[in-house]
Amino acid sequence: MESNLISRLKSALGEDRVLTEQEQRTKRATDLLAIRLLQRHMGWKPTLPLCVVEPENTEELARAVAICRENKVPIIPYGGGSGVLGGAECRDTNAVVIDVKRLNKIGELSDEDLCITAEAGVMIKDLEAYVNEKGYILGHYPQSMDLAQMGGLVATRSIGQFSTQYGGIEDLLLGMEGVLPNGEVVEIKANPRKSAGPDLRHIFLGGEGFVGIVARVTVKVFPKPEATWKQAYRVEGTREGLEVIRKVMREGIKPAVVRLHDWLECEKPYGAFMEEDESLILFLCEGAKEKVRAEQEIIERVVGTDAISAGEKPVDIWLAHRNDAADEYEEYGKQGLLVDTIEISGNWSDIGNIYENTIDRVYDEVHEVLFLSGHSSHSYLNGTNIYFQIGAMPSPDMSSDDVEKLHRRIWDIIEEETVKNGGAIAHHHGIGKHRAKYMESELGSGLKMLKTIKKAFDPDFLMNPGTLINCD
Amino acid sequence: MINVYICVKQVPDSKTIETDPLTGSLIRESAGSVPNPADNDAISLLSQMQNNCPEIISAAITMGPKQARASLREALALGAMSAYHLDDPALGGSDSYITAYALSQTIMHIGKADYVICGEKSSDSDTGQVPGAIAEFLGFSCYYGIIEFIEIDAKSKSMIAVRENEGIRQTIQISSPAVLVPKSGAFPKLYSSMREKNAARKKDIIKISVSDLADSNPDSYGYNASLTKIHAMVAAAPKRSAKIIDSEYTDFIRELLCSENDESGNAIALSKAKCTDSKDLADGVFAAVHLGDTHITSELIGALQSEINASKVTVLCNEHYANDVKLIANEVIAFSSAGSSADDLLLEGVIDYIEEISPDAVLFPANVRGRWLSSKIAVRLKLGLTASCTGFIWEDNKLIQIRPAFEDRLMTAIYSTKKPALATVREEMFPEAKKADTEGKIIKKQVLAKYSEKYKIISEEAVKPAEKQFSDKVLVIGNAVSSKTDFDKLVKWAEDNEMTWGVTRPLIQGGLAPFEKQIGVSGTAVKAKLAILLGVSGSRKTMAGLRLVNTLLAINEDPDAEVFSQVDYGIIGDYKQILKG
Ligand SMILES: Cc1cc2nc3c(=O)[nH]c(=O)nc-3n(C[C@H](O)[C@H](O)[C@H](O)COP(=O)(O)OP(=O)(O)OC[C@H]3O[C@@H](n4cnc5c(N)ncnc54)[C@H](O)[C@@H]3O)c2cc1C
Ligand SMILES: Cc1cc2nc3c(=O)[nH]c(=O)nc-3n(C[C@H](O)[C@H](O)[C@H](O)COP(=O)(O)OP(=O)(O)OC[C@H]3O[C@@H](n4cnc5c(N)ncnc54)[C@H](O)[C@@H]3O)c2cc1C
Repeated sequence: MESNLISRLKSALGEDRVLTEQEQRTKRATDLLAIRLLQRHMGWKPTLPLCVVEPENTEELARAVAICRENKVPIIPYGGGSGVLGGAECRDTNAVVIDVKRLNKIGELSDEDLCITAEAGVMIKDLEAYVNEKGYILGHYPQSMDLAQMGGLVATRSIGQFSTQYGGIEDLLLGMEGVLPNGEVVEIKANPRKSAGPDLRHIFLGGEGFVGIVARVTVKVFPKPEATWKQAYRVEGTREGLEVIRKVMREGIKPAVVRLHDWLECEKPYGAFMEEDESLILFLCEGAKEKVRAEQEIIERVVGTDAISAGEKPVDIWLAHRNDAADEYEEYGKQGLLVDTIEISGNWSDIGNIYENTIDRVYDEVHEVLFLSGHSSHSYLNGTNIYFQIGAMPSPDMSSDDVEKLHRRIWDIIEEETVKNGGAIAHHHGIGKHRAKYMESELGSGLKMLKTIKKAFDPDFLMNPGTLINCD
Repeated sequence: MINVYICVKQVPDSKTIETDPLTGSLIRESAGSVPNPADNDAISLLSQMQNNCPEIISAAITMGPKQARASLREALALGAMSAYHLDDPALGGSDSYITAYALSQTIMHIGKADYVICGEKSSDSDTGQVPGAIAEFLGFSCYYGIIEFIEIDAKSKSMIAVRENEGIRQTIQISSPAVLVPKSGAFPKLYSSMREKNAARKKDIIKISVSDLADSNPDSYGYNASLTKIHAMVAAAPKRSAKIIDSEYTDFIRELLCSENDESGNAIALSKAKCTDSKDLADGVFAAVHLGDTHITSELIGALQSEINASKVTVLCNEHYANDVKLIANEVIAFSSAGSSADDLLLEGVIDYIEEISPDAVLFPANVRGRWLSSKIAVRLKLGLTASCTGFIWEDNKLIQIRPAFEDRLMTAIYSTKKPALATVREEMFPEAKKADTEGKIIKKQVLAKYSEKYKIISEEAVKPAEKQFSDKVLVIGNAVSSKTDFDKLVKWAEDNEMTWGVTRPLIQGGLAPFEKQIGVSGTAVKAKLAILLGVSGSRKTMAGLRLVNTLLAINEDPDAEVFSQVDYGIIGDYKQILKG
């Protein structure tokens, strides 16, 4: 059956679109799920898919999906591979990986409608460069700017560093084309807004391939901003900082960047601008100069005496180095360190408790932890996110399985505290396979809805099984 | 009770330093700061000593602005018992000589020291000269290259350790007081736990100002007191752009592989050119110190000849080496004395020479003994000393010394305020000395030196230097190569051409090569003369690992590939066709 499937795929798409060499399958067997970056150095080996298919257009993509469906083999969509939750990780040797990297055409940019169309496999850094050249910006700057693709970003409901002004990918995606599990192609028109039943984009936004594959997207573009204002403020601690941000957001303004870093995150980059133990708030506003000036005035009034200005230099440092982590990400595993990031969100009334309880509990319960810090990086009228950064040193006698348990213990604490305090288990990395365990506590009665959707579209559970919801 | 002090430093993070595009000067605050990486070995050694001997009382010391407290917190978290912060506006702009002076004053202020532990060097200034100078100011002996701690005896305070320098590994018994300098990377990396970090945050850091020190005169410190000054600073990253080779590739590649010339794209050569253009003929008095290796000494002379057209160089050495160097030197001054060690003899000999002749400059090799000797002389004679020079300029009868800092990201041009300028010279940077037509004259000098070394050698063995993972010529295999057969062919091609090889990340991901072979941000940074990039797109993540390669050649079939704007030579086409010849 296997060789039959492969030959069918080959005759439908062409010999060179179906890769069976071990090297090619190995490359697309994993994403950047943190624990693997350590386990790889402890003898852990990925599960390889049956083959990798590289369709060149929507039509080929649809054909590939249909053939897999007929043969009842699992399908894993693969984008930039920068996901951090195992969404694109293969856990079944029968699976077929569909890598969309050849769907890489960029369409027309409309100045009048301020939008652009691009295929799912276009790297966001390439699309950004393309629109920049024409005088526009995408307004979407995830830290994985160098790594992620447009389809992957939509599929994980990603967010960028300037989100407080421009929104998450869900605010930027106007329309799209997708392929359903039976191989049908669907199109969702790009319109500014509509009232035509539930919004179908949301089946794909954050779907992580669970009921379809994103083939093409139409996203907003913005004219390049004219002016910028930057300012950093020192505050006594994280709680005080959260309070300042809450008051600013309440004014209804949308500075592009609103961040709060706790003491541990400040020590290294901003130590020269503050006192020990303080936290630091960073603001950046951009757009027309009158708008920027108005936002500046409001921020200065609201901050008042609650925080002390630390000038604009810290914001420049952040801007220059905001994506360095993407370079360092793989180094830790080699040193035997487990490093991960966990992002959750909560309402203003809960978020301080989530941050403090989590830090206390991890610190008390997991003695291997060397580093646990948090920042708030995406704020809203009603609340904000916390992005925890964790480093742990497993003892040298731990096996690959033990390390996985240690990793899980940390995750369990953070997700438990989040749910207990009314927060959401995921702010922007998505669920993948690693986080699916917590979906029941997150969705409660809603889980049934999600399962019903899954069943209706994908009755054989072939689309990226184990992602979002456990298969059983 | 054994008092052990550890000197730590907070340094700008070299990975993230930036320079002003116009002036080339360092934007210091933009870097953020981190504990100096080599200090971890110092802390690790301290922690082993403390585990071995409960009598130890330890303190961490730093000199620097307020963010330096982070380094002290880290030392406290990892076991130092108390912490002292020397912080005073008067200290701004101190060079390594003054830094060592201020630290030694601080140590004397805190109390009597039995041992002082220092990291091998700081990543920002890279001199490695502070430990030797501290030892000289305190009158201690100084032991570089410690790779293993064995034990310490609480009663006699003497300790046994293993050191390794220039191919010789010795187990030695050291008596206190002494400065100990562990070899960078030799001790296990220590990480503080969250618990230890929090405990350290609650501890007191004792602040010390210049007015607390025995020498409380602010004029003894800072920029004005420093004996070396910065003349200019430029970023060391040259802009490369590919010259496209569109015919006779085979010959071109062969030539590159055979060529010893490394002018093109050479980061250091380029940025030196930017410091200043003057190239006067230098008619000053110059000396090079010979420690035993004729090739190294030949490079010291070659540096002066090739860089500043020095017409005459005198070599200073111990008597039994005189015949080795007379062919390359214009003059040899050979020291002899009864009953002293080789190093003590050379030390006193060079000091006598400087006092008698007052030369313009004296050069030393930038190895452990060269650094040790030069820093002792600098302290004894109060002379400026510049470490690990990679270039020289002769201007207004003054030797301007060019040296890289921040792991070669920045070039600084430095001059000494007094003559002679002392400088250590980085190895493998300069051509050998021209062979003289006549042998240099040997002048013998009797020197008064006494035996000062305070250690006993327990055992000694020669060690082979660790083989370098990447040689002078490196083949970088990119994602264009994805089958095992093609890959194996390329590895063979590299070996046939006496090259070592590395890969981009996709080949690691595909299981074709082991992790150690990855080049780039999360792999190795290669230092080599030549690298050939085959089917490499030129992503920032790969290129970060090739910054220090002198000449880069890329072969890629895509004429628009990013890589062509980041290499010196480019060949457009299928690598299989191109390498056929
Ligand atoms: C260093 C680093 C920093 C990061 N920073 C951010 C950040 O700032 N903000 C943020 O939101 N995320 C961030 N991420 C997470 C990650 O980059 C995003 O989740 C990104 O959206 C993944 O895109 P990708 O193309 O790499 O997708 P992949 O990892 O390839 O896939 C992600 C998931 O989507 C599915 N998928 C991929 N393509 C498609 C498609 N065309 N149709 C349907 N499903 C598909 C996969 O099966 C998988 O389940 C970061 C990751 C790293 C490693
Ligand atoms: C956390 C993280 C850390 C990373 N760290 C590193 C790192 O340290 N080092 C590193 O290298 N990468 C690193 N990467 C990966 C990096 O982002 C790039 O994906 C990678 O460098 C691309 O490798 P490449 O240029 O070989 O392959 P590709 O981008 O696939 O380029 C292949 C090139 O070969 C050319 N080509 C194809 N066929 C031929 C032929 N027959 N003849 C000639 N040319 C041909 C093509 O035109 C193309 O330019 C990292 C990624 C992540 C996520």
